[in-house]
Amino acid sequence: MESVYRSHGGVVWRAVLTMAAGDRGVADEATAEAFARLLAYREGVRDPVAWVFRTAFGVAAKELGRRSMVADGAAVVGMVSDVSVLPPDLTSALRRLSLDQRVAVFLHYFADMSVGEVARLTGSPSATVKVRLHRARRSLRESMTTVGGDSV
Amino acid sequence: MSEAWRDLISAVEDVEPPMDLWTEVVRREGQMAPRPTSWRVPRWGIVALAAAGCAAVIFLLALAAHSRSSSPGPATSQHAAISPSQARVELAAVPHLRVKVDTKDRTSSCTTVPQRPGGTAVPLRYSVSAVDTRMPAYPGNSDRPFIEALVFPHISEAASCYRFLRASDYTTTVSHHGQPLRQVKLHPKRVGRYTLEIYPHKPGQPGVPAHWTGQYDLVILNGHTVVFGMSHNAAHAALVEADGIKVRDIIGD
Repeated sequence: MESVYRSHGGVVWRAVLTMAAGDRGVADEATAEAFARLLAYREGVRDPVAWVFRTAFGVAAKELGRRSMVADGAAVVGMVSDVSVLPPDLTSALRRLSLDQRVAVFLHYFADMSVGEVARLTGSPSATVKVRLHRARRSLRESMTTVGGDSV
Repeated sequence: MSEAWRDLISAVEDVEPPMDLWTEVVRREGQMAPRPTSWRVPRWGIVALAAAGCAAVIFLLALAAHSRSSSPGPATSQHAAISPSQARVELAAVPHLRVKVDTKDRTSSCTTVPQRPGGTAVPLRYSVSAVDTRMPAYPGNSDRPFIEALVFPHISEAASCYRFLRASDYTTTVSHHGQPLRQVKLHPKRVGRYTLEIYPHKPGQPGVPAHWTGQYDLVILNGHTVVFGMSHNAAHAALVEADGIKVRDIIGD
């Protein structure tokens, strides 16, 4: 399982970091927890890579939801803390997306995965992944139009 | 817009995960409760199990169908004997037998055992009275050998009736002038498959017809049906038993 960590640990961590819009604490927590569970339950896991991705996303979603509630329901946008280790423009763009859209954007545009691979790793239908990517692009276009007064 | 996302998201590359993340993973894994060894039934095992289950169900169904068709029916109140009208038709075809079928009969024949004096008459599904014309009729027709079949609604009633009738061949109540009733044991002798001889005596006894040599009681139990008959010498007893068996076979059960 350590080989899985070596080959995919960084990608998993960055995927969760993107999902958390730059919140390093969530990325550390979810990645460590997902790999620890993979080590513990490895005998029953058939596809360790997909399994660890989905587990990490699940742990991160829970953690983000918990933090959101602690923040007194301070709007969905506030599902992440203000502390981000990512550049401000990226953080701002990610915060306009849902958690699923952030994951799809990361896996497709950063990890260069096909729509089918993204679907496999996230456990979603390909059509759903396409819709998420489409909405992510539209969101980015709208934000750039608003900021720059022109479309990209 | 895809390229815009690629450009933006590439900034994630600049952020590195913590160096001690694997150490944290191992630490957490060590803290997790040991998971019991999971065992998973192999796919072929599931298929084999399902096939065995199907085979078992088919076998049990076949067994049930076989036992239903080959074993006698349970002791229930279902009527297996033929209908009264059928009995009337089929028994009329038996040579030498004059038959009467009664569907409104009740019988007290089964309560003749001394311990059950005056017992309640039992309603019957139908009864059959028959005489064999080969045997002579006497004035009043009272001493003529006879065969009677009682078809009960329930098997248990037929079985009780059979026991009462048969018991009366082993004990009876006698009375002498001025003496109270008393029970006397009898010692019947089997003279046929279903016939017992009681009160044997030599022919020509005073007070009885010359050809009488005793009392011959026939009792046959067959499901819902009890067939019984009475005659007074061995030759007639053989005829009555043969007729009784024919009646039993025709009524069936």
